Amino acid sequence: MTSRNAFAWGAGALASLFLLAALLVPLGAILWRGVAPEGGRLGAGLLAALGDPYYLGRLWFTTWQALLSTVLTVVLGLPSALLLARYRFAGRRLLTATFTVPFVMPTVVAGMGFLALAGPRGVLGVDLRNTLAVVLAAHVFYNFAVVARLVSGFLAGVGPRLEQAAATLGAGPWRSAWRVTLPLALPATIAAATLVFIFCFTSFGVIVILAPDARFATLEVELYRLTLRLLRLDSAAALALVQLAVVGGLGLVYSRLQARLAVPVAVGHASGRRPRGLGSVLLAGDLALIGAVVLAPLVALGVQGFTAPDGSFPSLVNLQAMFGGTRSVGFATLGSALRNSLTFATLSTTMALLVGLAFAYAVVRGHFAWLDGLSLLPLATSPVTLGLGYLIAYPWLVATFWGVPLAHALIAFPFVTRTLLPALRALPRGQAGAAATLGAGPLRTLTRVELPQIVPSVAVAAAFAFAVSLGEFGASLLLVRPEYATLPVAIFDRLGRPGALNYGAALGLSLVLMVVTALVMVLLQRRGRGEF
Amino acid sequence: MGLEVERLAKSYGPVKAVDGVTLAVPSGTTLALLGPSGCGKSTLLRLVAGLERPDAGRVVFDGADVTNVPTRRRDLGMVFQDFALFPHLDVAGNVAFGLVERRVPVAARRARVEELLGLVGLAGLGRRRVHDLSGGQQQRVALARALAPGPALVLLDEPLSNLDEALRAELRDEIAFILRQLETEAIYVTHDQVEAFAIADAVAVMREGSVVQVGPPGAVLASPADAWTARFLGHENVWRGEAAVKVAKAVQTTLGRDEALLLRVDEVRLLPAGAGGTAPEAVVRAAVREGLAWRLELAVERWAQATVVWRGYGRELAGEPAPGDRYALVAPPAAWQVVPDRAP
Repeated sequence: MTSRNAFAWGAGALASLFLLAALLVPLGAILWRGVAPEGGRLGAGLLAALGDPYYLGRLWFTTWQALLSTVLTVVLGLPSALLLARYRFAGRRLLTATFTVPFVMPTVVAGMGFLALAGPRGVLGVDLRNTLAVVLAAHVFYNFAVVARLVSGFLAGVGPRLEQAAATLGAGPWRSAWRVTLPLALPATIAAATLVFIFCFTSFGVIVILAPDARFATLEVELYRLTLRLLRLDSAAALALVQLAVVGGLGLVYSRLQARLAVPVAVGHASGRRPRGLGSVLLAGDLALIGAVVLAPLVALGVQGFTAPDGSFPSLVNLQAMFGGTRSVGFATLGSALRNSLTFATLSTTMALLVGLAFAYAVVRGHFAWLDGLSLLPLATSPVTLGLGYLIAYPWLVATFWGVPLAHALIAFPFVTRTLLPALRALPRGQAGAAATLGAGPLRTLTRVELPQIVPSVAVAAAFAFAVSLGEFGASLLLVRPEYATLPVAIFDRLGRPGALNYGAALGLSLVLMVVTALVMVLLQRRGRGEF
Repeated sequence: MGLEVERLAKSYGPVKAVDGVTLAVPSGTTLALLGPSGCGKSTLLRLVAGLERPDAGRVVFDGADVTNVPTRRRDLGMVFQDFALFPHLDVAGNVAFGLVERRVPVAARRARVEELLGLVGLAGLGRRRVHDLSGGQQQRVALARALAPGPALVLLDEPLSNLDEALRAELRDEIAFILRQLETEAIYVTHDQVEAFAIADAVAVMREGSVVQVGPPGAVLASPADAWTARFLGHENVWRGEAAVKVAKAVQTTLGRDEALLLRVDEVRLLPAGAGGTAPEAVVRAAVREGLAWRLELAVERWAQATVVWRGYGRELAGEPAPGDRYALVAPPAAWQVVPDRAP
């Protein structure tokens, strides 16, 4: 064994150990608890959960609301994707960036935005809380960018050449859209729809903020309720297994489709044309509609954030409310929540980068190709499931400070590896050999040759991990101790307390979280692009 | 009737890609647009196809001005450099694409697809995915797809440039055969003179957006329009400037300003030293085997030490040539041409 292999082996062992401890053991604990609960027959818990009409009802609701959300998102997102791929126009980049804003915004911010828009004290003046409409709207808002970016990105890679070929064969713009562009976009659309369905199926933050009524509880919300409110871990584990099976199955479908998309389609450089005639009317209409849908909740949040409970605007009452309030146990002020959030984000980003880099190195340079398949598994594990797994597997960990950063590092892990893997793969194979002939060992090669070349990707990965940790809600809610409440947890806590001032403080904290996240994302856009 | 292009022009910013080109492709003939990369030949083809809009000029087809007619109504078939096959359709689906647009009934469509696949040598492969085909097969599908609707004009944009050497020669001859059978007008864009001469009834040489010379392959080769064209077409014995004046003086020709001197090597014979009568003596500087043929660099003292490149087979040389060997170089007056030498 050469020293380089030993080095890759060490990196692979580190990454495997992390995945084992942070993901596989908790999942195993859930499986064990769900299938063989203390004292019961094997599989009794699972069968009981599947046979209970209440849980079946939750599964049914979770499925059809996700299906409906997905259809709505695709119907609204697809035209934008086609128009974005076809046309070049001024402000196109800015617009694409705007579309992405909701997707990177924490769910809590999205939820608070809709509350500010159409909540009890909302800008629109209608209270849509606890309606299906507001849940669907929030899901469309949140996932629109997934469809628009995935599909338009794929089509832009195909380029205009195929439509030109269709034109030489007698097809006009509409015919070629119908016979060439749409069929080409179909696999990407299905992939995007699968992803959207997974997100909506495991919807949590949006539901607990906008539709806390039991009628609207998804499996994820039910998991949270069973775990934290009712302390029925057996049922929770059984339910988590059902959810894991659905999401895991769909995750496999998604990665299959992704692999198919990776097949190089006939190439052509992306160069759209300027919109003319009917095309420009459609484009303008679509963009106005989408702009309104995307921006309305965020603008509403901004307006409400500076509106006092008595209706005066602008006012700093809400921002002041963040600092004060009753000093009861676990009551988080802006200072402590922001400090906790930044501390956890820094810690989890560091961990995710370290382990992610080891993982990527082991997969690319060593014989750990099988690990690659594992890197998507965290994506299939919902945050509340993860929190539940930690509670069951490591009860002692939850009493400490370290549960949250570990969970956040794991949730950020797929984003980090998806960014670092392609960067490391793109490095010429001969380089490491050249460094070796010049006398550099594996560690020196990594620090002097490989790392300097992938700095932009490392920066992107870091920003992603940081943003993920800042916005993470479900796992934090289960794992965080009151004195370590993060911004999203603090927002939810304030929202659950009575009084206009607490609502105002929740708005103010949401504004702060929105701004901090936006800052991180601006840095991300500056530094380059990930592989999403 | 055929296709006519009149003073066609297209600029991209300050670059004149096509600079006032006038050309005619008579009915049933194939024209090769030949030029180095970036000369505007592909842009000219895209103007004819209607994929680009000209800044000025007209495209006239069978007497009708089609300059403002959209591509899909021009009744043409085009083969793209990167094939541009539809990845979501199988081979038959690709070939049938234009037939569907023209509302050809299903039965007739099927028969036509089979006929075309047979023509390009892909009979029985209709159900294959286009990904799974080799480069040569993909090119055949692209050709069949373009020809299936029976277009009045066929445009081919460097169709062989993405294929390897051996395949290129094979497909070149097949395309030439098919285009001759079809008797429709065709324009074949290429940077390879061998392809152009093998396929076309007429060749148009392009340089920097303009057509420098048009004519039948033989005529264009035999008397290139100028020194640049001669070099581009493969003539190696072209003297310009000072060198041209010296050689011209030695062979008793007068040379004007902006003129170059061309020696057509296909008219030149080598004889054993002393056997050429008044022919000048040439000394071998370098002898390189090019397959079965020889390429010799000869120094001719009586022509102001000019270097002449000669190609031929060993039987003309009486034994293997080696540096220092001497021959008599016989160049009849018809081998010499005075050509214009325009500034680039």
